[in-house]
Amino acid sequence: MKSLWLSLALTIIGMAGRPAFAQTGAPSPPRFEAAAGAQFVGSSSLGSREANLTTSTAGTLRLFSTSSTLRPAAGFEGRLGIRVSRSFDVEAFGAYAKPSLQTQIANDLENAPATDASEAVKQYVVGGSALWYLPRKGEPALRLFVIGGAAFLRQLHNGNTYAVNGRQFEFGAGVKYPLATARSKKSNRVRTFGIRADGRVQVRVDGATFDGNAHSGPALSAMAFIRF
Amino acid sequence: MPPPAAAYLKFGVSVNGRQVTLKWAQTPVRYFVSARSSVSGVGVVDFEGAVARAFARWEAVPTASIAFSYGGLTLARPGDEDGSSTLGFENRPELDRVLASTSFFIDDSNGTLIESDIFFNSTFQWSVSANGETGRFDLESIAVHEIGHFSGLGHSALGETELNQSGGRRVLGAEAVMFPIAFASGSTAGRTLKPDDIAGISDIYPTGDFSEAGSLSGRVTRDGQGLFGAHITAFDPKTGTIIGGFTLTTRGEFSIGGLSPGPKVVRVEPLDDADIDSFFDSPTVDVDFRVLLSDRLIVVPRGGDSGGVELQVVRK
Repeated sequence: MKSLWLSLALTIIGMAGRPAFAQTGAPSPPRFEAAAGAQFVGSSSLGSREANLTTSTAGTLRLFSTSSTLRPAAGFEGRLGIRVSRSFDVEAFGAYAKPSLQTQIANDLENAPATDASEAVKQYVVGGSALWYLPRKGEPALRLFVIGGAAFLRQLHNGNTYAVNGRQFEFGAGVKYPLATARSKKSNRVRTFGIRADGRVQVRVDGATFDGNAHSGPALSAMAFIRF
Repeated sequence: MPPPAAAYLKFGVSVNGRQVTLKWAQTPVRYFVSARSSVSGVGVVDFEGAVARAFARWEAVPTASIAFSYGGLTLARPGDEDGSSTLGFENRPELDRVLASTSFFIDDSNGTLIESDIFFNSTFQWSVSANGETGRFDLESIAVHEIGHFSGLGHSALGETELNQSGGRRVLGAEAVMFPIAFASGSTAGRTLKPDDIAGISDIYPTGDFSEAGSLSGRVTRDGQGLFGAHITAFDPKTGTIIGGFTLTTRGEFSIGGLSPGPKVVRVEPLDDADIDSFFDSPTVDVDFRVLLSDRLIVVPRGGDSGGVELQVVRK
């Protein structure tokens, strides 16, 4: 996995070194974009499992059942993008959230009341994504895009006493809206400030899953960006 | 005040006022089979084969270093204090609810085992059939349980029972071969070691692979007072394994070892599915409380302890 992220980082650096536009008297279009803001990670199922005893015929007798969920949480997200072409950016991103891992316990054999057991999880995500702008229509300043990416996921439990790693794949769409543009006379570059909103589906593999399956959930983010 | 209890799952012995885990100092542990180990349906060779398979199940635990070797047939009987560990049948009709029993001879200067004998009660009908036989108890299953004792393990409370008409108990389900009550005759389900058994034997005879296992510890209280003899189970929602332990002091303290790292669902129940003396000598085990499911997921660190977990139960 380490080598995957290393090669991704090298790809991004390699692209950054390539001139995107020939130098002319016209102002250079912005090549870089930094964005930061808030993220909302939606709920995702982590699987169900029963606590079973073995019967005399090697069957099972349920002691209780569990169903686990990673609860919704707000967090932070930052992205650094590089324009590869007029309609294509690549981005490196990182995100942090502190969702609650909740297990519903029910159907106790001895009639213990159903209980929700939980603990807080610190969740870090670092990855890369590709972003493709749709052709402009209507409002020319509004840029619609679709986005897809992959990330390394690390989840820390209970005061960092236990960590699990996983992968996260995401795809979705979003919109960018520039609010102000300024031109630097010194560098002949244009700087643009704006806002961005993304909606994505995140698919997590490994990490804090209890059944070994991939699990998906929604994520929304609202960020301010500067393009330079 | 109850006496200091044996550590969870393990037998303990007091040496110079200090609790020591009962165990063999050296392995492989040599055992012999009584030449008189023959009853209806089970010849001596059948007996040798069944107990050899039972010993092999404990030896196969990858996180435990316990090992056994077979010394052959002997004219000695189980229970003879002769320095040799002997297994065999004995006719004990007065023990009408005891399928088998394990006895020990201990070096009381250091708590190590010198000899351990197992007798199987020939009052009952026995079988060594691969798939079990209706009306006969599976010798291999019962041998697996007794060899757990032979190795130093006590009883586990991971099971549910119901009272039957004769005043005995019928096992509805168990998740440890060390549960004190056997499955009904004809069953072979007791041949397979469960995670609770594996954690117990690995705790006594750990290999390097066991160092990653963690523990979960804390207290069980009721009305602010510690509770002795409560049964606590740790369920891993990832693997589906259940491992149990007991509160072993009047402060209600417990520690469950041999757990895989990660979050655990914790459940506390009264010790009411078998006779109390199957687990403790103390008559002061309190069973007057409701089953509790903890509202916290307790995280067990890799090779470490969860830290003190407070579990508060209420009266029935």
